Amino acid sequence: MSETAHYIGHRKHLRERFAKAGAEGLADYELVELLLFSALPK
Amino acid sequence: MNGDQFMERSIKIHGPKEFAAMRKAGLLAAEVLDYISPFVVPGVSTEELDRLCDDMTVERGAISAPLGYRGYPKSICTSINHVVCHGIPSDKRLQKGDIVNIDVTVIIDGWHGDSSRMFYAGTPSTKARRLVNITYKAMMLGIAAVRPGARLGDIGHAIQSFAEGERCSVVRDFCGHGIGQVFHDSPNVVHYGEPGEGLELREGMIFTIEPMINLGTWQVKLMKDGWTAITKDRSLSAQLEHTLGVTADGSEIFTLSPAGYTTPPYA
Repeated sequence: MSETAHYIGHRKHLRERFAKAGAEGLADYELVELLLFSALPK
Repeated sequence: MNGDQFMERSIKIHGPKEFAAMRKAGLLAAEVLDYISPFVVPGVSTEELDRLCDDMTVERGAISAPLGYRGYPKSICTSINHVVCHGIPSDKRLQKGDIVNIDVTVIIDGWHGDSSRMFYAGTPSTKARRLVNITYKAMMLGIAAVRPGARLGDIGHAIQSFAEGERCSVVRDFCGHGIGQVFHDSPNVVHYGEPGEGLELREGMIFTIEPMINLGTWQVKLMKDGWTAITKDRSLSAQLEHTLGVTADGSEIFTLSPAGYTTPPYA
């Protein structure tokens, strides 16, 4: 039974972590990624 | 510490005792697949195949790992035609010409044996048979790249370059995985990549190689059940899987068929 590759659901996971722990729960580059999500639609 | 170094630290290195346990688990998974082979015919429901596999697993003192795993409702996965992976057994009956992947994972004495094979219900189309044969060769080329000092990218590259050379595509969303006493462990073993890149393999690592190869696009879509993945363009997809360990001079496949089955037809 295959595993889902770790990068699948990355945006969802990051948003959930931000909602749960706030900016302090994310590394700086992850905060930049969050901002870029809205600029780079999938 | 970079990502590769972090991953390397979290990957288990197994010794002879663990390899012996994995041999036993792998053999049972292979035996279940051997056993189910004659039952895969037009008209059989995938639920019936699920019951037969589960019954044999339990009779042999093991349990089916997928049952209840993250809420998965059945004991095996049955992925038909354009289903890439994680098809859920149901009352749906196989039709003449279908190709189906059956994916079995057993847990015996706490160790997981994970393997899948392709099956034909009747005689499939020429292009379906070609896809299955390409997928088998791709998997074996990936396995041939395994040895201490090689990298995960070497495995992925061997699979991808062959499959794409045959005008097929490699699924990106699902991958092989470390395995042992844990079902899905580190590392992720993706089936595409560049030679010389990624984690360095070491003797004692245990993981699966299980490429999903499509006739059309590599892109997949997840169905509403949250499990069934299909090709976005509804093209045919095939998958085969072995569990293996890295040895001093290459690899040991734990899930080889005692009956010698590799690709269908098996009769």
